Amino acid sequence: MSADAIRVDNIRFSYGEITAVNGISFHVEEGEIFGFLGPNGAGKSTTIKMLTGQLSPKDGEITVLGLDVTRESGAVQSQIGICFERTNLYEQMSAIENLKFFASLYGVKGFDVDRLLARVGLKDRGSDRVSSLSKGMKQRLMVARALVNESKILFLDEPTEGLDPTSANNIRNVILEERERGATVFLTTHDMLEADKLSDRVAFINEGEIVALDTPHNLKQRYGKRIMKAQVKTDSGELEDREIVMDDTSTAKDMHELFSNESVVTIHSEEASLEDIFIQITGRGLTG
Amino acid sequence: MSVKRIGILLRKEFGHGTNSYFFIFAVAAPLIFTVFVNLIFGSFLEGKAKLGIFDHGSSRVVASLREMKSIDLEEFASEEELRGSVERGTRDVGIILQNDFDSKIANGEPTTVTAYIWGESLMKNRAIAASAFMHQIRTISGKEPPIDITPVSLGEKEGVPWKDRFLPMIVLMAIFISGFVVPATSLVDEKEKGTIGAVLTTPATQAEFFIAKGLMGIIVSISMGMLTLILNHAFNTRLGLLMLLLFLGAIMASCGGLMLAAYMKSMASIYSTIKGLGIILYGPGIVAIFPQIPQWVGKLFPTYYVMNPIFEIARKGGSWSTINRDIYVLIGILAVLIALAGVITSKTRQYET
Repeated sequence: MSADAIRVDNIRFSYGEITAVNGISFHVEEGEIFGFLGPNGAGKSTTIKMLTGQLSPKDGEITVLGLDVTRESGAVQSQIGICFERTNLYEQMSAIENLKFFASLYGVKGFDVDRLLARVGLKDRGSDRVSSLSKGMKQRLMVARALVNESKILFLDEPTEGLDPTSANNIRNVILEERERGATVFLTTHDMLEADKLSDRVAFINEGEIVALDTPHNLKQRYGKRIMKAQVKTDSGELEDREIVMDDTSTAKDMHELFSNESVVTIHSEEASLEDIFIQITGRGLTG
Repeated sequence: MSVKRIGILLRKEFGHGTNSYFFIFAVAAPLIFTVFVNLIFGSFLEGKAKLGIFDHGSSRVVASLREMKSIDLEEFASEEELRGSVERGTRDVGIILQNDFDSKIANGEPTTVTAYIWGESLMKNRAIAASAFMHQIRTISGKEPPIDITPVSLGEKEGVPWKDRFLPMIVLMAIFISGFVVPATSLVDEKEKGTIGAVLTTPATQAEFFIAKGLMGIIVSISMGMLTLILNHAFNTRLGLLMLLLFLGAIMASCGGLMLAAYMKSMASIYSTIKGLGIILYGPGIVAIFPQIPQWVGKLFPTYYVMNPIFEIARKGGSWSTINRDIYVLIGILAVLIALAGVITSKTRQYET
């Protein structure tokens, strides 16, 4: 990781009276997977639209691959790939026709459509009309479309939403492969485990403002508490849960008392999740 | 701007936009209307111009006319029979020749010829019959004879057959349904499905995207206009001028459709708006159907300046000198429309993606 692939400086955008993005700043390094997390309406999609040149910020500056997105959107768009949150494929065209059409718009030479379809697990459905594909298949095709030009930056807006666990895992592997290739990935997702697993760094956006930005590990260190979760059997034979906060001055004493006074059935340690941290910071959940 | 990308986008339009309901409707509607009007008021197989002649002497003109393949000639034994035939509509034009006709034209003497004209005959047939007659006289006399033709209209008082009255409307439908509706619905469909966002985040620019849609409308519009004129036997003279008018009309239709679609977000809203705009698009055609309406009313509609010159050429044998004023007005309207379309469509991205 070295230079900045994306640099955002104090950008704002509003839809009439409603402020969607309120002066956010961050940077994404080349080759990094950057998780952009927030609930619906937090400003994620508006930010992506500004980063990809679909919307112009009312204020602030965005530089992508060293180019000013507002002034040089065409040059930026030729070097990025986008997987939209909403399915927006040509439904009357086949999967192959969709991919070939977009590859031709990018001017890709020697485009290997079969290989790309195989990467997203759609090799056998390439000739089918998109309208006949399932929601999950369409989502995989959306990801494939974002890959047609082997872009320097991938913007993936909820790429695994609606996918079964196997397909979602397949897409996560594709994202990691892209990082291996050298691409930068800007990822928004509701799946906190996914963000945790894939992202080098994550930013939490809430009500148009970035409220936290760091590596998942650092965020957990800073905001999260490790706990020990135990299940004990009471005198009446019922099972009850017990929690002991770790890294506390009383941890050792609490542990001793647990094992001395209670009949412990199961016990395991648990780290704070990114969602826990988000709730802790903002007072609201990510799905809200 | 990349011509190659416009070509790619245009190919996509024709490859996958042509199976939409609106495309099929745009292509089918004027054809169905043509068939409908022809079945009721005319015939697709309406052949040659029907010329009747009563010759008091034995003019060489009649013998020459018999040899002409472009007209259907019938000779009559009396003036009354000829008149009756024209009155019934079995002949488009009936001509009476005096017994000294040939010697008069040979000597260059002024000659009067009475021509009965069936009021509901097609203008094209009248023109063909008259020009064939004059051509034969010129051939025989070797010069332009001083002939004074006295036309006598018989039959329907208004003199314009219903089929001819419907022609402007059919031509307007052909040009504007396809040229207007096809790009407009295609654009709104892309907005509704979000595909415009996917395309405009590739190197394809907004201008390329709109030009491809506009070109599709223009090509379909010109094709439908030509086809409709051919089916109505109206694509037979001054083809260069007719093509120019079809081209200008197609640009007007396409620009109008894209401008409208730039503001629309759903197929339902564009469909209802197109229905509402029908009176503006087809107003001059409606005026032409009903001669009782003052014909200047038609001039208030922009589409009049497409329809009228086409009608003038196809049915009245008009030339550049008779239609150039309409064409200048049309070019003026187009300049305003194209400028407006450029401004409006450039704003679309902010609203829709």
